[in-house]
Amino acid sequence: MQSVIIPQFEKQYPNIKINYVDESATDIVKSVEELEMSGSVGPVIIGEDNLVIGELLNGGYLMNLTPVANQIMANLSLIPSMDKLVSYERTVYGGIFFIPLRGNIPLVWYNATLFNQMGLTPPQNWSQLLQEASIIKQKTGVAPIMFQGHGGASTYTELYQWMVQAGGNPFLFNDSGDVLAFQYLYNLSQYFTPGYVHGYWGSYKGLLSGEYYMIDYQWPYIYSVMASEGVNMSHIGFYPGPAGPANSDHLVGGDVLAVPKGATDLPDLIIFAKFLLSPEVQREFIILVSWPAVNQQAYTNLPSNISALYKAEEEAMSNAFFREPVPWITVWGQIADNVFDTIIVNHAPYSQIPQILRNANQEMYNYLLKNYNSTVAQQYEQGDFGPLYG
Amino acid sequence: MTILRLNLFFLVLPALVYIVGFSFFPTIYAVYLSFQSPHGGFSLANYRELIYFNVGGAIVDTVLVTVGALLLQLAIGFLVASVLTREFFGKRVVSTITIIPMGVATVVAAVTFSFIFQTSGGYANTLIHVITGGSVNWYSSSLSSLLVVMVADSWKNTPIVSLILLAGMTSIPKELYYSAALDGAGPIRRFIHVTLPNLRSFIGVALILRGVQEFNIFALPLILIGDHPPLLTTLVYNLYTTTFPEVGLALAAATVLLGFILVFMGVVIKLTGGKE
Amino acid sequence: MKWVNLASIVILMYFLFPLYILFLLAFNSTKFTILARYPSLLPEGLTLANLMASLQGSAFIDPFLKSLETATLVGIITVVLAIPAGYGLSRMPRSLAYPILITLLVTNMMPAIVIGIPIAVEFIKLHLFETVPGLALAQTLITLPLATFILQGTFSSIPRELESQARIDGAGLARLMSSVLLPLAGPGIAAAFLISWMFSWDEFTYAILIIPFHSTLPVTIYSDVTRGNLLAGIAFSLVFTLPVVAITLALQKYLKGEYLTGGIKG
Repeated sequence: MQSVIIPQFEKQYPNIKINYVDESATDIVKSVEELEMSGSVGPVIIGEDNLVIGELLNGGYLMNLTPVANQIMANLSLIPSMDKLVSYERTVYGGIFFIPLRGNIPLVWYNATLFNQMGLTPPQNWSQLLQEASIIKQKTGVAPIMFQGHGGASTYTELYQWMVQAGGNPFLFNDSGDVLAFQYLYNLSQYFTPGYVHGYWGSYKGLLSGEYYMIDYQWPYIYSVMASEGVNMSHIGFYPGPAGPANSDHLVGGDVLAVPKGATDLPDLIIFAKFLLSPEVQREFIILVSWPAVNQQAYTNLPSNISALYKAEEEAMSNAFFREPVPWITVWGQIADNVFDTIIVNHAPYSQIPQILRNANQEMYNYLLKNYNSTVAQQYEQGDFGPLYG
Repeated sequence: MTILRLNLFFLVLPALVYIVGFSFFPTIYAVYLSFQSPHGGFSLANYRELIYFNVGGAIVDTVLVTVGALLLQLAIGFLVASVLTREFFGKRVVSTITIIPMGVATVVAAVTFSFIFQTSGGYANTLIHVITGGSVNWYSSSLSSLLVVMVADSWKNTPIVSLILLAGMTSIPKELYYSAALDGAGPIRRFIHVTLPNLRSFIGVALILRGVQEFNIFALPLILIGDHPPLLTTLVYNLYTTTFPEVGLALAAATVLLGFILVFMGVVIKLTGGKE
Repeated sequence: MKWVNLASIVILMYFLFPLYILFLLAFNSTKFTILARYPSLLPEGLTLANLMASLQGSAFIDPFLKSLETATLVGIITVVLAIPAGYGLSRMPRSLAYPILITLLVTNMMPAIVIGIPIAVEFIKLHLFETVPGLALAQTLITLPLATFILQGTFSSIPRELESQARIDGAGLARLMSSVLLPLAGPGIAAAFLISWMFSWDEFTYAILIIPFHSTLPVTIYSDVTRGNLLAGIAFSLVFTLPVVAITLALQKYLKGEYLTGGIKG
């Protein structure tokens, strides 16, 4: 971003200078809050995680972009999943408050060389995954699977997808799909590499050093990182991952553009937004940093080595859903982390899994009751909040 | 005389106002908020919720790490200080090198130790692998994970403890040791009956300075163990978000931490007889 | 004394080992470090490539300069505030000084991550957000109590006779300070400055909250390491550490325990 794309913009528009800021999703929320509370925002446009944007939206911190949305999105053909996200916005929030900037979809990565040697093909469903993990462990003595078990956003984001693939509504914790997912993960965890408790968004280096042989799941940007560190990419295999018992849907992450309320210099912000959404720049997203673009036109004529990665991403995105950006999602996440720690990391007895999940549901319900109101709590319990398919 | 006293007070005022204004009030406010219910009024809801998030475990682990790290630092600090009270060839080098960790940033120390101690592999395991052919998962249990944090933290912070103890030791008159030796006391008894009592207030200073910081360690456990297991500080960080009312939970955990620190300070001051 | 030599060797190894590892991480080729399961304990395939690649450009220089500016400013502000405070406290009766010192130390104890947000918001209103002076003011919150404590001890140890002598000779407070007290307190002041400087250099939490955008080195290293940019994190760490270690060594005579223990007469 900083070294290529920003200079390009500044060259094209010499009157506009960009101050580029790289922050984590939750830090952006804090920063925007601080700006809003201080009363002097300035010319600020943000690219925020599409999950966390809900906090800003519900806090009333975002500018309503509906009047200028047509301007920004003129000539923009969004990929289907992002199109649906914008429709959702219009329906639920009555206007446009954020515009998709880039997508992000988790894939499964594996050590292709080892798989070839052992005559294995990437597992196509959950039982195959369990089987192959067991075979690898038997033959090599290594527990082969890396999971994002560090805790925090990376863990509960990953859990969300596993629960959806088992047919559950992740927010509820204890519907049949959710319980199934945790029971499966419990069994799969015997094949987790010991380092999974530190597994996070950047974990990949054990794939080639023999520490583990599969990463379920990781974001595609590690492709660029590995390539830049001189890794021989022919050893690396990737694919959308095994299908769950109910579906093989994937969680779409990524960033959206939004403008804090009270920001100044809107025309310049719009120019910058259009620039970022243009086919040329979106194409650079794909090639330089392995970010799935939201602009359809960016996908024409990609270089061949990138297109393999893109194909996997496209396949994964064919059935995509978003986490509904409710304001209490971080609390849900904290409870989810806690459940994960209790069941998987601390290995509670298998028979207790349903009870533990019931407690989690209770905890979330009580939280909503106390901090919001009984209507919200009711809606929660009825399953009104859940994954968005647009 | 009163005019002098007033002058003195004015000298101290800038620093006092600065610190009280900028840390005291936010602290009080944070504690106050932790007891607020989102619909207004006093409520213990945040604290009750903390129990779900295993605040008890975090407390135990925090105390373990604090006590363990302090013991480690005192032990090594005494060793280093004892060595440095003697004269020997190369003393300059040793005394220089023992200061170095003070200059290494905590983040850097954390990153380095995270490469030394890993779940499988890592530098420590290279050594073990060469000797025994196996490898140790340093994070296989809560206790071992906490041990890694203690070791990393002590590496960085022993120098200051040893400096304080050294200052104390050099102020003990040699005659006390001689007469004890004459009375037939061996090195260990001399240590217990001469060194320790005279170092009481120095140990106290070391304990207070380091102890408070130990309760607050954050960057090291964040990088080394994440929240497996959680300490009070990493728990606060995990629960921390700026939206209200969610932030009340983190503030409650932080208040718990503050409580422990206050208790700790009280105990240490009592035991080491204050600053006299 | 044989055991002393043995103990010294053990101590040396204990303190130098992690630094040696940092050296390996920075200079061994990645084959033997981050890509290897059992990284080599010996220098192998030494290369400057890791450092060269990571230290190019503003990605490194900016945070480095920011850390430098902040730390120096913190040292100065702290000392400027702590000298009068330390002097005042040293001349006050114990019963008054003691509670003030305790207050200063106690307010130090709330985890910075919680005080951080209200402070940051106030700073925005004062236009101090995302500025070096703003961060320096926040970090001074932590360095000031200790510096005051040190200087109180330093000034306590200056015999009152010198002071009364100067007063009899007609010196006002300002002259008293500049010609008598400050020179004598020199080492203590240096110690306070150094410790504050080093502390700010190290500081992490306020840096993340108050300068979240183009931040200081510790924050930059942390985000590099957690996002998988291991090489950059390691290279920055090495370069970050070397000058500070050098300074620590050069000025070690000021880091004597006497200054830290202030007015304690054992």
